Amino acid sequence: MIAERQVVISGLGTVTPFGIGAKTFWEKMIQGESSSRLITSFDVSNLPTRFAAQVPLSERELEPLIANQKSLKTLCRAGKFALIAAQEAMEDSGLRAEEIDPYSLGLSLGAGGLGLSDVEHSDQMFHIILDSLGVEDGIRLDRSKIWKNTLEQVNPLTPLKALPNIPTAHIAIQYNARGNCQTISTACTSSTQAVGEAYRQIKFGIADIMITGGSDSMINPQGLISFSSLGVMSKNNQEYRSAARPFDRRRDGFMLGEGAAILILEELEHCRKRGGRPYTEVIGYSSTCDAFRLTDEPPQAWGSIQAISTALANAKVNPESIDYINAHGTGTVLNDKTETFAIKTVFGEKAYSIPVSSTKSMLGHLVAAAGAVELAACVLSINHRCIPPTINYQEPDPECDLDYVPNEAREADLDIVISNSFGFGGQNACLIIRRVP
Amino acid sequence: MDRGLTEDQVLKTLSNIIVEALRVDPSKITRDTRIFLDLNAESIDILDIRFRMEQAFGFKINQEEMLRSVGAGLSAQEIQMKFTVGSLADYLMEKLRQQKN
Repeated sequence: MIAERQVVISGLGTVTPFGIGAKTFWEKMIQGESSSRLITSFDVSNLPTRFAAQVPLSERELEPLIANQKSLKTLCRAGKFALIAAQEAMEDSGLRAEEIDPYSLGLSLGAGGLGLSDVEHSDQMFHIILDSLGVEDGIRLDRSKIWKNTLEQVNPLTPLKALPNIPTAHIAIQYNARGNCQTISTACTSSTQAVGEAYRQIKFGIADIMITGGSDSMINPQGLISFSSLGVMSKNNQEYRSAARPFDRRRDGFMLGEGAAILILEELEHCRKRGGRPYTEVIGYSSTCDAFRLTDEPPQAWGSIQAISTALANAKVNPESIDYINAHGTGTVLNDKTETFAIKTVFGEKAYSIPVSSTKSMLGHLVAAAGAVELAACVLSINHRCIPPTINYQEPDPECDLDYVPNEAREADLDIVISNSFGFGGQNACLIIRRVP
Repeated sequence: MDRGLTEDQVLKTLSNIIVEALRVDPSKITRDTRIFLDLNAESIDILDIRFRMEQAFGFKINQEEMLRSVGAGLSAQEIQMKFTVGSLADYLMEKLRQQKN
């Protein structure tokens, strides 16, 4: 019988609202700091939500951090985050691109964003701009001229910035990754699925090394308007420093975040042979779809329950062995209630003694990057033997009655940890990692 | 932009455009520098350079005509060999003369 291939995480890099690098990310998280700030990068004075968890670097400050300077002209902000995090992760792993068989190296990244606006949306935008200018009725909107001027006046490479697989392609070029390179876009589960699929690539012998994770940046007018329209963000501008309060009775939606996390997944023997340092082992993954409604979770939470229990089965561990759950924990009324219900259904009485925390209370919701950043938090939790808290937790909700690690990090000898992600479209994905023996 | 530009002015503007588009060291750019072969430009970079030239010089440029200006009846590979900073500057000077007349 052929021995099963084991998959380890051998490098990581992050760009988060706490700044550049995994060290800062971890230090601020265990301090229980909030990264919430009032938005000043564009005028939000007439929008219902005026705060977010922004990466504290402007485009100008990000650009010198990217090795391939020519790539900048085809990288959106999220793409820049991905490249910076990938550089840190590769350096951290000690892997040298020239020593890797290029066809055994692949990529699996989660990406989101809005892409280019569709015709209906741009048509509305033209009218709104004219109205906002106070232009009198009777002015003819010459659309064909608008399209022509756009063609002539916008840099022809601009559309590439909106393609979700461009950051993947740039990282592939930089590290000569010629194996399976894929980009997954499933809203808030994008990067959890990306890591899960990367894990499968190595486990099933398709690749030896995968550069994986995700990035996103939606703290821009389009992104903020979109999430405001859907009514999922906190509007608590008065108390913006503590408005992200998952599982708290007073929660009123999530805080939008941005950033990236990249992890290097590697076959265990490959990592050992080259003298690499495995952080943790990836032992389980599952992904399901509710097939119910686009944004409502089914009342019985079948999709999330199935994702958690199948991940446990895939990892060949029983529910009793889970030491910590990094919750999706967005801070919307429905998510936190349904996720709590799903955890209680899968874990039974044991659910009450498993620490469950939401790092979104500190970092906000990084959308397509959320799963990868939260998995990075889990990796560091195991290594530092410490659980990051759910901050801003003051008033318990009777329907959310688990141990949410309120307000302060907690020392704990963690062995096996699960990270949950649930997203629009009824997407559910869970990853399980454990300490390397 | 003023149409009465000297060759040196055109070359300087063009060099700045190439430095910006390809993020290369300005000291690498001479008249003889081959844009594809020495500066590792790819096809989208030529779109970018053409766009930046249109913005800087204020007239439309036909990409095919621009590339073909290095010589009639050449293969794509031969064009890449001959497409230099100098050939592009000459093309721009010719376009500027046409604009003036």
